[in-house]
Amino acid sequence: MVSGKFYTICRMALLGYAIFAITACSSIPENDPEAAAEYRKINDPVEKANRYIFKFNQGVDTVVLKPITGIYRIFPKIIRNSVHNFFHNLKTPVILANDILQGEPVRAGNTLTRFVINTTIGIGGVRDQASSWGIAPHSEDFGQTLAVWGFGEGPYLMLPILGPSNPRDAIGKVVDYFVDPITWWARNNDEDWIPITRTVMNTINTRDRLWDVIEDLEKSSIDYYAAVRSLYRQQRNREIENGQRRKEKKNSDLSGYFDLVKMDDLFVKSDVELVK
Amino acid sequence: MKYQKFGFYSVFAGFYLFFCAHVSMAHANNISAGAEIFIETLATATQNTFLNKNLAPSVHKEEFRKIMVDNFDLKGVGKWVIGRYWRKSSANERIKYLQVFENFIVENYAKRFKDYTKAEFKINETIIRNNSIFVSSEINASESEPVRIVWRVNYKDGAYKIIDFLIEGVSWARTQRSEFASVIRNNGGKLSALISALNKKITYLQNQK
Repeated sequence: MVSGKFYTICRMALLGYAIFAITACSSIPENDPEAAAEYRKINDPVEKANRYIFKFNQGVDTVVLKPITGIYRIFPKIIRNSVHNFFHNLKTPVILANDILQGEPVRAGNTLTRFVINTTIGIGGVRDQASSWGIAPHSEDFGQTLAVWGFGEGPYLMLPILGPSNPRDAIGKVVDYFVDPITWWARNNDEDWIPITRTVMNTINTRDRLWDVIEDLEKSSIDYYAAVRSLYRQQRNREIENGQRRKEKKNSDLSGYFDLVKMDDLFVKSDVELVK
Repeated sequence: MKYQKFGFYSVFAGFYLFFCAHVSMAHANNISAGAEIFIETLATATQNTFLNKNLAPSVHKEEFRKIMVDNFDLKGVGKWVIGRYWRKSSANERIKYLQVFENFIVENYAKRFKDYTKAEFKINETIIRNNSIFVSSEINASESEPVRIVWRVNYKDGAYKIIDFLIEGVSWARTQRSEFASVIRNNGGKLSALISALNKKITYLQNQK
């Protein structure tokens, strides 16, 4: 009963959001080809609406999330790391499913091995023993899988509470949520508090890990919204590339770098070019 | 006779190509090695400046400015980050903008290094791609997890200049470009709007403790 009401509210909110976003849509400046090209590159047709939602999210952060995370940060780092490890370990089924869907047997094997080691020797996942044995953690989600399958990201979207996204990643989030066996199990057993607690803890954990980055970015940027948009795209691109091109793995620091913008057009050619 | 001559020429051409490839590869290796030394020297100079806690903050800042101006292609990056708006701006505005851009970077980064403590700096590998040299490095401070930084360096007229750096895969130049373009676009396409936004930020950063 409760969940039925919840879904109705969700549907209404979604509809309201769609109407809001569409009415706030700006038009393409077709009379100026350069401006039109820039507009397409930025790919943020609902920027006005996005900026409102971004402001709203910042408000929620200031009033709720940041203070709560501030209290959470009283715990020593070692405990916070354990919490992070525990919740990352719980994501294993979703990561594994996406590893497989992307056709990445090695990464799937890593995910499975990590789960076995960390759940047993790592005491239910609070210790990341696998990392110290050389099997580094990685993340996968259905948004990345869709990207690997060839779906474009679509226009930039700022979602209420959930933050920066795009249609592809938003769909991915929904799919990941419903694919997750913990969600099923909780729904079948009427244990709604489990996914809720997990979502809350994941949110606080993420905010905690981004604490310094956010503070730094807020202080140093002249357009915080645009900076976040750029960072989100670069990060996502990098994550997607990581899983996609085996060749690139060795230079994972650079993966995704060359795809977003053609960087060289405005730099004078260097002598390196003449050598090759 | 004809065939013999052809044979001779093809062998000659083969040697020549081999020679060229060899020279350019050696040259490319030299360029990579040079870039590594360049980054290493830069890192040491920056460390030495900020580890010297006897210097006043204003001296730190000026030393840092010198390092930035000498080692970064500030004009190239400055131009690139405002993209098409550079071409539309007047000569006077350009000079003003480049000066403010420099001040903005110095103010922004000198602050971050203020409480700098000794850290290990190490270069992992160097590759050449898309007309640039990419030097991957790692900074290990005892307290926190290692930070991976890739330096994008151009070699021109016998000098190395940094044109971008990536911290954990996020490009500095690209982020700046998206921000700067956004400020200009949302203010009627005027470069002067960006200049005043940068100036405001500089004042804000100077007033921060």
